[in-house]
This record gives sequence, C-alpha cells and structure tokens, in this order.
Amino acid sequence: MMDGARDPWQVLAGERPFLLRLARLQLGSQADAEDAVQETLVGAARGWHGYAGRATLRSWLTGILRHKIVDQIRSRRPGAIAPAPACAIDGEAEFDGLFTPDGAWHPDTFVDTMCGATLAAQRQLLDIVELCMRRLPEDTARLFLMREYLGMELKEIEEHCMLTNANLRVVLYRARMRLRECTVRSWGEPE
Amino acid sequence: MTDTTTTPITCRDTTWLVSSARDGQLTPQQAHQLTAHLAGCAACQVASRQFAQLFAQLDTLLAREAVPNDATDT
Repeated sequence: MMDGARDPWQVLAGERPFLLRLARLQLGSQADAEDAVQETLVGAARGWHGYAGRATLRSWLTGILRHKIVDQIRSRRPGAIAPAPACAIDGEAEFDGLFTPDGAWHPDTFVDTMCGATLAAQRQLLDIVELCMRRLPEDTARLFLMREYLGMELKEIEEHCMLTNANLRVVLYRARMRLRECTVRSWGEPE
Repeated sequence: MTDTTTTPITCRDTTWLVSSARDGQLTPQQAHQLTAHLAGCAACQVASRQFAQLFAQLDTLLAREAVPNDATDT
C-alpha cells in the first residue's frame, strides 16, 4: 500500500528488483529491461499522487510495466524475442512420478494441502508463487509470462517465438504443473 | 441428435484440460469429460481447487486484474 510518509522514489525503488526480473525475462536484453523499468518508475513517480492505493504498489507497477514490455515486443520482428525452447515430445515425462501407470494421481506423491485464505497469509502466499516462478527454466518462464503476465494470445506467442501450437501448449502445461507442485508443497509447511 | 456419450479420461488428462482451460474455452466434449471426471474423483477435486488458487494468486502477483489508466503514457 502507498506509504505517504516516505520518499516516493525510495518506495518505488524497493520494487525495482522484481520489475527488472520480469522485464529481463521478457525482453532478453538487460539494457532494454533497464529502460522499461526506468520508464515505469518515472511514470509511477509522476502519477504518484494519483495512485490511491486501489491495488498494491507492486500490482500497480507491474501493470504499468506490462504496457512498456508489450509495446517493445510488438515492435520487434517475429522470432526476435526468444529462441524456441528445447521442448521434447516427451515433455510431460517429468510428471510420470505424480501419476500411476493408468493415469491416476499416485497416492504416494499426491499433495492434498490447500492454501490458507486469511488476508494475513496472502503476502506470504504471493511470495511463495514468486519463488516458485523463479525456479522455472528461463525459456519456460519467458513463454509462461508472455501468456500469464502479458496476456498475449497463443497464436501471437507462437508467431513471435517460432513455436508450434503443440509445443507452446506443452511448455505452458509443464510450467503450471511445476508451479502447482512447488506451491502446494509450500502451502503444507507450517508457518 | 446429440451425442451424450463421454469417453472417460484419467486424472492426468484432467490436468491437461485444466491447463488448457486457462488459455481458452474447452470444446463441449472436453468440458463434459472434465466435469464427469471431477464429479467422481476426490483427488482431482482437490487438484482442481489447488490450480484455481494458484491461478488466482498468479492473477494478483502479475496484476492481471489491474488495469492502470495512469502513468502508462510516459
């Protein structure tokens, strides 16, 4: 939430590492990422007094940064964003341990914990998701965030990244399965 | 005539459909298969809720619901 007692720049700078990670993943270039984040923070500082704390500061900044990144990506030629990830046909084999041979959840590995719903726990839960996202392979995270963060349609991602629809779907599936597995195990840990 | 038969799917198949539903609408047949499987599978009911919670947290973390109108035209 907005902290009116502190220098806005100081507050905004605290979110810079998170924004830079997002931008770097999407834009590939450190320089481009720095530019996008700098523009975001300058824009946020200008709009600081209009920011009424409707969303968390991070959400507000993340939303602003999204526009900067999408503009940059759409101005590039297709194929210039990211190399196609090494996406083997057996890309789902890594989840074999989660299921029995006939495709049911394996009782020995299935984690049935649910996350807490209290407001007090929300910040911690978001931190867990962020930590789990950091564990994704870079190529996977880039494509996953093009979909989940930038909101790009599958077709647009396929064209920009020179991927087939089948490959992209497998990459997104793997990312979501990994995130679920990572987060539910953390939900089960005592606070 | 409407085909009301549904080929059963596995728990593993449901995870694929849950992921696919995040990217677009399932076909009527897929939706029917998913619903039918969930109705009779306690583990998949749990997994489906876990995915829903994860997706909600991603929406918050990545500001998918936020549409900032200010400070975007710098």
